[in-house]
Amino acid sequence: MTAELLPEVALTALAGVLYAAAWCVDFAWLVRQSSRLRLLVTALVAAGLAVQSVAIAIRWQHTGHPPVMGTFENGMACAWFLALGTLALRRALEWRFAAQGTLLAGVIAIAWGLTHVTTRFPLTISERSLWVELHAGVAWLAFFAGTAAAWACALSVVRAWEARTGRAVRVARALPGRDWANEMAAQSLLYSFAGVSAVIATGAWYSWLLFGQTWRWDLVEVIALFTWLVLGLAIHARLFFGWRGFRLAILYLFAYLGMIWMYWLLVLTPFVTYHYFELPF
Amino acid sequence: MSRVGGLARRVWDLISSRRLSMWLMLALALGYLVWVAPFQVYGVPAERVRNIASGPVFEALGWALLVNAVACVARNIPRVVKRSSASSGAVERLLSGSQAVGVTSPLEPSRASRLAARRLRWRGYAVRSTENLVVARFGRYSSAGTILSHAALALLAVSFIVTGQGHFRGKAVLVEGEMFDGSIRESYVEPNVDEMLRIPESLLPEATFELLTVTPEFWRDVQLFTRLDARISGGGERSRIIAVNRPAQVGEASVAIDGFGYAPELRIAGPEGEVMSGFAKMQVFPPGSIDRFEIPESPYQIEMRIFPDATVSGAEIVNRTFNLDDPLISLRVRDVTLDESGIPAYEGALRLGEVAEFFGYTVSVPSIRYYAELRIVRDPGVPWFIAALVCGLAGLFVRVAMRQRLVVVEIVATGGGSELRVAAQAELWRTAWREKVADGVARSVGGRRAGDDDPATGGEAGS
Repeated sequence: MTAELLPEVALTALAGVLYAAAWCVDFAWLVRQSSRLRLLVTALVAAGLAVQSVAIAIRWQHTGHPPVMGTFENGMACAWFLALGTLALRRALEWRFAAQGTLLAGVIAIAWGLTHVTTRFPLTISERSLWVELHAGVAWLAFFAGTAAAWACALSVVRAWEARTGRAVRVARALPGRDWANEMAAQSLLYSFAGVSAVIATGAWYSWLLFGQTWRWDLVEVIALFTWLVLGLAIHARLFFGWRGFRLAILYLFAYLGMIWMYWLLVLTPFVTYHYFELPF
Repeated sequence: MSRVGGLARRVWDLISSRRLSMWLMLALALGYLVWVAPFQVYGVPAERVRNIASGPVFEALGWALLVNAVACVARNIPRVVKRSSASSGAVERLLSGSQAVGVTSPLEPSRASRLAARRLRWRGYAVRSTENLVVARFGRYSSAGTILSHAALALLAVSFIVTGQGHFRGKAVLVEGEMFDGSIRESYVEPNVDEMLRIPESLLPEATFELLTVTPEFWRDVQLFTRLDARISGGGERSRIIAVNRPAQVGEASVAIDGFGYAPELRIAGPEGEVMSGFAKMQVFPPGSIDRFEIPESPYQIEMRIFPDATVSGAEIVNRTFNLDDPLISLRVRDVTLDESGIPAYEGALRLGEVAEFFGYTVSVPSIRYYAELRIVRDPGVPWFIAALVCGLAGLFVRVAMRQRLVVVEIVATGGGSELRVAAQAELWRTAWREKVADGVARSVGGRRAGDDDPATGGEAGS
């Protein structure tokens, strides 16, 4: 696995550095709670997003397609959507902390992508469709929603632990309290479920176009269905059986693991994708 | 009768029970995780994994969940609809509850009321206001989203049933210029002959078209397609282009191209002057692959390889690209009645139009066409499936974007201003959101909340 020094590769690496710096500064804000640090974080993320947008534009121009092919390109796309979502989250005060999670995931996505082949390949013909691009875009938005939800649930778990033990987690003192954390976790469940539903729906439609079958039971589809079912279970547990706090958060995090597995197997795996195409093209 | 009625009632309660939904979702999720996913990880072939995942146990659980979900929603529709209707009782209950947030404002009540109402209208609420009371509602019809998204499951069930009744899938191989008639069993190479005989003719799709052209293109000299589409025409309509991921609806069938190959035109003349000619759909792609056929009523078998864009370097054939630009046909003819290790009757390479001669026979390849492997699918359940997707996504969008919210602001005059009590309720949001709403109202009336810190900003209060 080698990294060729293409301009978009260098720019992507630079964007990753900016995101990582933003994350570090944001963590410092957690401790110091300075408004100036908050502004710096926003500026760093915006700068990283701008740099990455240029990288994507260069890549697109050379390959003729958006970054949807190969681990490097999917790492780029993942990080771009996560960074964009991070900026959006930071506008809503109570969601600002969730941006830490999405930013961290973006840094990891870029780093992971850079360890893979960065050769510019044209798109295979089975992937040349606006429906594929829509499916990929929806998938990354869903991943963003899922990651933000995971962070909210993680905070919910922390607050539950604090309530049970009577101890406070120092680094989380600036973050929303227990009620907020629980309710954000509950709300974000809905967004996550809607996102995964949209991914499944667009994927099923494209499967019909490509294979003449709406569902083929490959591993990625099975894990997507598993994630969808667990999210549905969590929503119904919340609405009808009063699940909240620790229990609900743990159930969601279980679904989020499924989501991570699904994306890793699909486009971020170092091996051949488990989204079986069984086509020579 | 009452015993039967009681039993029916209990069965209905069970089928439409939310608890059953939870158990079914859990059972399916764990089943897929534990019983299906590992097989793929272990490298079990995809086809066998599909058989496992679509097996009778999972199918039964899936159907149970679909029926349960539909029954659940049907049972709860009156309650769901009732929630969306206006309820003055809800306003009273909110105000009488102990969880209203106090806001003080320097403005007199009528002005405070107008500003609070304006802010809520700006946020998308439907607002009714007087000098002393502002009632704002949002997402009144969000419950329709619940009904829609669960109705999608009913449509999904219908699509499965319809597909089960009338589904057909086949593969046809056509050379450019060849006609196809989907209602004839012999038109298909898959399913095979024996399986086709078991399929009722009524399932075969009424679809007729001619394959006009096939256009493959490759990236450099790598077996990476950059283009593979075909042009078909039929039924008096203008021609259409089909691709791997772009099927066309022809009659009752969805037609797409799944693969292609070379179909050399063979012209074989025998020693007594008889001539045979036609296009042979050969398995000679990728270049270098060998296919064989026997000359009828002769002992000769021809092995053929096609190099679509070849040069000859000494004794070696070098293929430059996969595009059919300068083809070279490699032939090896042997007498099947003799030992395979013996000297072949003919061995050599031909360009288009050149002739190979052996023992009174002549073989030439005047031209090469492409053939297309076509996927022919008849699935009457697809429109229902699309309806289910659209319905489901629309329902989710309504549900997520338009969650029901009710905000009530009671305004009382005080010396030097007014006192507001802000009460709010929303699905999935309670305490935290109420405080957020109170903050917004306080800002709009130039006031502040009475007493409590906002926990979302509490950490930054000192910054």
